[in-house]
Amino acid sequence: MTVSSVDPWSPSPAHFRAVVFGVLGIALALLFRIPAILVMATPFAFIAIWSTATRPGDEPELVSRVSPRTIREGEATAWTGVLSDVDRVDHVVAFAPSRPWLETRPPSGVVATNVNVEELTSTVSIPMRSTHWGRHDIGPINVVAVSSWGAFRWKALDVGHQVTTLPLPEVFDAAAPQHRANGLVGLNRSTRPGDGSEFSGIRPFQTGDRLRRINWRRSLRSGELHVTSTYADQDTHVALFVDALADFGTSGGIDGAASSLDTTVRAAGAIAEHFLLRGDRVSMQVVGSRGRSHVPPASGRGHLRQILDVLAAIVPDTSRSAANRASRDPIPGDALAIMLSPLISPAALERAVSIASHGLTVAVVDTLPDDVHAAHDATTELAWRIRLLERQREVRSVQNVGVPVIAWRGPGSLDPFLREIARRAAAPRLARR
Amino acid sequence: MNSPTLQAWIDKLHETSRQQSLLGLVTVLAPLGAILAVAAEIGRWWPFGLVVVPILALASAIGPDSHAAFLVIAVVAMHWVVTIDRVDTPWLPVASVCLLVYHAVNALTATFPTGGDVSTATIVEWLWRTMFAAGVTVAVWALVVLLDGRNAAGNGLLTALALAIVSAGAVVLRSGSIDESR
Repeated sequence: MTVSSVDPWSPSPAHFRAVVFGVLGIALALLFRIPAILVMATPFAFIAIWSTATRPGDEPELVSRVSPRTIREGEATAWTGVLSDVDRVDHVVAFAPSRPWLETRPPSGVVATNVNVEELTSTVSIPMRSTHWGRHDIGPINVVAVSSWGAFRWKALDVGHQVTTLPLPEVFDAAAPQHRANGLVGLNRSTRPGDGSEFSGIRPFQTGDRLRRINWRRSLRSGELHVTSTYADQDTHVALFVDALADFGTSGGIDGAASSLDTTVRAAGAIAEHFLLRGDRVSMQVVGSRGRSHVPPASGRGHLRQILDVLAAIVPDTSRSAANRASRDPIPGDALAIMLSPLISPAALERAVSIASHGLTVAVVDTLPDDVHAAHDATTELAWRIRLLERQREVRSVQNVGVPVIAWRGPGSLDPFLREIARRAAAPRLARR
Repeated sequence: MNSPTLQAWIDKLHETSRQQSLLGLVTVLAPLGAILAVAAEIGRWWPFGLVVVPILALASAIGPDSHAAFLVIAVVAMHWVVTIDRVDTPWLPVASVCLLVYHAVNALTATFPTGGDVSTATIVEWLWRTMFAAGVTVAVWALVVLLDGRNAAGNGLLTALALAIVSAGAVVLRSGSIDESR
């Protein structure tokens, strides 16, 4: 229940008109003996009497809700208001003003519903489609109950509803072999033998081996018990670093162009979904967001929802302090680090180099859209081009220290990087401790 | 560059739904119909009314919650009273029904904001009501014509009594319209 203000039943200008013309017309007709005025005043007097006789006595009660409260981009939700005590109400009108990233149906946001005489409640619903991730305020919704002939109106203002739109992860898949595993459970083959599914070899039975692992053919041939051993199935910790220090480009929602932050958020969601559905652990640090910025490593669908929730709550923080805070965030122990950034702020690249220097495998995903245009004035355009040139130099210097920078292209974007780290997995590495 | 007021009007025009446009058209045509009824009765046009009344009606269609509609009805009714001194013409109920339609459509339009549509059930219900009120108007006109033909002498007591009843009715309407507890 979020109704902020209620105006009780009050007469409308139409009722005022009907009463004045009805009463005044009949009085003048009688006084001046002009029957034409009586005929002209008759419909107004009739309407005034009808309206007054059917004036609603009780104040309706509005109970409203938004369901579902959490949706994905492009999905729809609906505001629904239920009015009780609608005796003598003619119709109910609800109006949702236009809000950014929320498309109402009908586009005007006005929905009117007729109230039947027998009904004691009236339900009015405004469907809405969210076209952009984030938290969106709905309303204020104006609800107006109207009596017969539009003579009396009851108004309520419904405020405070919010819908969370989770980013719709882009289509992403990785066909490349997986990073070396370091966890206890998962889908990836570890280098150690253990309780898994991938065949390792056949060895003599040891105390503690499961009976179902006994290889009976080999045991019968050799005369002593042998078991089939497997490699342990283990998981990977994938640490996502999301750069939300700024947003570049124009966002057109789910149906239009994507800004840098749109691409970053949707790519982060896609990568998190990919690895979590494989059974890996994923953590996330958002650099430069005003809201919650850290999600600890965990796995499963519930954790994916937690990550998407944090992504949906991102509000870019362009202050210098946000960049400074980012450099102080802890670096996970042993993980596959993926940083998503438009790479306009040098803080993201500095952070990537810092993570790599701690011995982690890092990849930087470049999420700057191709068609970012600066302002129309020549000076700003020139400044933007200079910044892009500097950015190229910074990216080259980061690549020179062994941090790959990959442009986000959807499915298979990370495949070259994952193949490369799988190849290097067995090789010894130098790390600063 | 347009002024903010003009731009607001243009935006409002763009947002207007088809149903609202049709209702707006009726709002403009209905008082024009009443003016034409007067013209048909007296046999000449009223140029001032043909210009002013549609303009006021258009203003009331754009702002149905304003008191522009009050002016439109007052102007048309005054024009009839001033120019025509008979009651037994069939143009009188025509003009009355035109004003009734104008009032009803204006009242309905005022109940929902720009761009909205009311349900067909609501429109049908309002149409039935308006037809019923029109029937009552025609019946009263027929009664008035019948009584007018009898040419009865004036009666001060009866007139005073009728006025008292009208006054009492006005008081009842007022008390029924305004919530005294507020």
